[in-house]
Amino acid sequence: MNQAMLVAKNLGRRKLRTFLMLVAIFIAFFLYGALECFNRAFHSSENAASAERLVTVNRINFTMPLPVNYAGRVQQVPGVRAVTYQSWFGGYYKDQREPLFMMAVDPATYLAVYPSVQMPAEQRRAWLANRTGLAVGKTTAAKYGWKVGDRIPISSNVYMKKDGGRAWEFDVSAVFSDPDDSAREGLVLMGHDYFDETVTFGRDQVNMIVFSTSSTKQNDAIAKAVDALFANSEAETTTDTAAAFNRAFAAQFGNIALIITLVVATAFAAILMIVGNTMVMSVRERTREIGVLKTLGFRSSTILGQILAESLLLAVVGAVLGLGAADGVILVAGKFLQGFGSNLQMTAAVFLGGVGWAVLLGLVTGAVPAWSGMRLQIATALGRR
Amino acid sequence: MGRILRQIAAIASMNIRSIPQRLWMSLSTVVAIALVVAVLLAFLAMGNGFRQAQSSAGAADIAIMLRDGAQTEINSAVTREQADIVEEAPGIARQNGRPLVSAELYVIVDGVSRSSHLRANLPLRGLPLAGVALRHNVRIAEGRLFQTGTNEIVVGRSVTREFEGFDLGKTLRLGQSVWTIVGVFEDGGTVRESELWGDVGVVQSVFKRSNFFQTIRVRLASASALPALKAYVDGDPRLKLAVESEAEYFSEQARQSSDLIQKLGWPLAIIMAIGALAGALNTMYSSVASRGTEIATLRAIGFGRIPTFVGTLAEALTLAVIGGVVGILAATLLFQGYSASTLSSNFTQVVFTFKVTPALCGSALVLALIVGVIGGIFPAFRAARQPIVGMLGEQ
Amino acid sequence: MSDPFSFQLRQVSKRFVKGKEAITIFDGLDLDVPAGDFVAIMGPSGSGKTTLLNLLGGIDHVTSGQILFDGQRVDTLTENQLSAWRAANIGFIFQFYNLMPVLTAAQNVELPLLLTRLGQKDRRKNVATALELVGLSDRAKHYPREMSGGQQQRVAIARAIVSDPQVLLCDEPTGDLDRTTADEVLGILKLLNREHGKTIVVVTHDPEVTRHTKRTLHLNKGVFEEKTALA
Repeated sequence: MNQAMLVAKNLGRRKLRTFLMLVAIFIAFFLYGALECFNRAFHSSENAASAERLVTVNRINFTMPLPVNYAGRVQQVPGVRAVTYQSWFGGYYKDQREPLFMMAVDPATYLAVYPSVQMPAEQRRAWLANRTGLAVGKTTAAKYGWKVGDRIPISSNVYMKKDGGRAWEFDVSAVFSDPDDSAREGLVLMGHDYFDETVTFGRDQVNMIVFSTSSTKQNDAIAKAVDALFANSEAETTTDTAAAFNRAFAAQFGNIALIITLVVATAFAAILMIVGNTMVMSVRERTREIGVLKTLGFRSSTILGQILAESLLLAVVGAVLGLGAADGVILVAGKFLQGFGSNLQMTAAVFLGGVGWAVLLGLVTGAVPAWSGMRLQIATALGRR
Repeated sequence: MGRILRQIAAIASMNIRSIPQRLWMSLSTVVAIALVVAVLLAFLAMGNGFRQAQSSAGAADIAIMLRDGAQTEINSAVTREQADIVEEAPGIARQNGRPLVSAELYVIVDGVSRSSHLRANLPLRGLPLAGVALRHNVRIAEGRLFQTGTNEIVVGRSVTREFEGFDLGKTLRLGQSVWTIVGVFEDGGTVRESELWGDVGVVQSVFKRSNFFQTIRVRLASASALPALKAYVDGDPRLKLAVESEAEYFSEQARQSSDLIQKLGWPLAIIMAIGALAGALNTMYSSVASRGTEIATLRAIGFGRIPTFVGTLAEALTLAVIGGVVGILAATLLFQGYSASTLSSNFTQVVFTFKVTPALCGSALVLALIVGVIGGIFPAFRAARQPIVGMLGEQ
Repeated sequence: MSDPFSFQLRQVSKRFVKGKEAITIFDGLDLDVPAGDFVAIMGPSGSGKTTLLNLLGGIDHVTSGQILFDGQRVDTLTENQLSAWRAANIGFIFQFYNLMPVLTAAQNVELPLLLTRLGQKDRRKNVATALELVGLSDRAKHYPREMSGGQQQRVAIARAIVSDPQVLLCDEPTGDLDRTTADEVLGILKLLNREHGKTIVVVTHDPEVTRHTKRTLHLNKGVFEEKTALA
């Protein structure tokens, strides 16, 4: 036996009580883990690359179109490297209520602006060559069971075909992955040529122009230059980083981060009171024993350390269990949500952050009883029945 | 029977009056339950407010027509030709001899949220004056209505309240043209107040959508005229339109969004309730333990097991009810009437207020009571089954 | 060379302040406890016996006066110094045993050794020796709740001696035991005194104790009346 065992034994003193405390702590950290991961996934399209890419949309609103020739004119602006364009297709496969994240793009320039998109060389060739070819992100492909070579019909909520139908026929040319941004792996990409040839309206129009620059320090100036280029023209533009664009869009749903912070804070406040009071009660029950330990020669500071170690052990074990459970739930939820494009996963940052909070919780809940245990006078402790 | 009730009353009141002896433990349970109730009520109020903003807008005697298969206005497309054909349909109310038919356009423009200072999608609805007339409860609160053929717009009360730059008299630059805000309208806080309205012809030309609309709204002669109108539309192959009353349309939109919030709020509240339950069980077990001698003495005197059981349960329920009430009060004080906005299925912002109702408070209180019951039952069993011998004179 | 006296109390006064009242337990008390002594201290309730024991063990502090142990002053030691001094020199035995319920007998006995630098093997050996001395080797893995009062007290004695302290301070060690068990316990104490040379101070109500001790002191209202037992 050693002092560590003594700490653990004290927790085992009343097993039911320790179990209930663990449950409470588990719940709080489960919520923290799950909600915090969700929060990050929601704001996840802000990675390094998206902070450097620039996006140009119609100044009125990004649902309004831009003429496709704008892309060529943006390319002329000094400092611009690769330029591509995309249009929201509003597609769905069989069920109108389950929309696809589907865009009409220019394949060659798309791959130039999003270099992290990866696909086997022959699939890439096929996509670039085939007018009706479709490049599908791997999570969407898995969700619907699509494989390279499949011929699938996709309809649009927004557009109609010239021949009167609403269903377009596509060949799955490629299945791609994006290690930098797993949200992108939910996308479905069709060729803009096919789009332009077949729609009744919206031809030669695009929703957004996305481009990379040769030096990110110049992004501010380049963005202003692009907007100046189209000022006073039929479609004025506004240009911003992709990260800022995504952030503004996410914010439209509401201050999700604030809501999550408030919920997690209330959960922690509740368990702080519960566990704190229980620790005080538990230590008070041991007054005599603490006195005995001191008569044996254990120092007051040692007693302080033992009690703090107890509350820390309780908090950290409960937290690790809760975070682990959150991880499991996130894994399952992630599979359901990935069709809608999200980066839902438990990261080291969230886990370690949780452990950090657990340490703080352990210290705070243990502080008062540890202090009173340390200050306890032996004579009083032994006399108290 | 009377004797048992008297015993129960006696023990229950003793238990409850002994709560202050375990003040901090009991308080922590009350606080935990209050927090769970407050969080649940906040979510429910949010869902309720969002739903109400949308569903209360719909009238039973206004029919809305979208392209067949379109779920929302933004995805719909209707031609001038179709609108003309609809004007001939039966069941439409008339004003000054003209049928009250409004072919409308729905485009999205940027606003800036006052709270987040970030861009937000706002709907600009192009509609004829008939369209304003057929919306019952709308009234111009400030300024005046726009004039046909001009770049004038009126904005809903929620728009000017939640977004920057839409005050009366301000101008708005959309594309190449400048628009002036000449009026603010109110509509009882419904989703309509989150819109900007302008003359349909002008909006069409600025946004290059001539002869192109998204919806047709029609004031029915009476709510019962809807089937006749539907039959007419279904019977004409040129009209591939879906017809429903505005009430149905909005309530479907509302149901979808409030469903989502409910699906988030309840599981969250239940998970938190499990944590509160752990705290409640802990408090009650320690209460039973600390009153061990007292319980044994009562039993030795002759009080039965059932009163002991009920007494402990009463203590737990008291804590739960107090926690529930505190949570309800807190949520009401903090959230009632709080204004927020979020993205609707039309891809635009809908402004709504949190709405706490007695029914919602009731649901939240039920959750608190369930925690109280479960948190009390097991300790109550232990109290009732506690042996008398060995507990007397001990401690 | 060790001092002939384990304890020397010089003009010790002890006063408690309770609200506005001051209660004087001792006023100018003197006491000598020679090394190897086995002394019983008897007296009515409130005579100050337990307080005296607490003062000897450094658990309580004098209001004025000096306490010397082996010729060195202990009343001036700091708390941490007192802790170390107690661990090295004093073993306590209480009326209600005061074992930790979450530990087995062996683990309880091992507690004082955690304060030393001994490794696990040595600790185990010392624990085994102590348990054997009190005759409870077969109960090493039992918990206090599985043992009778007498057995628990013997475990407590084993705990008190496992660090081989010079002094044992006992507060009503037989107070909760039946006659036979009490005699067993007293027998062990006598053994420890005779064969291991431990200085033992016993505070007690039990007159039977005086038949085992070398001398008896009577404490009444903070003052001694000495009576020497027949050896």
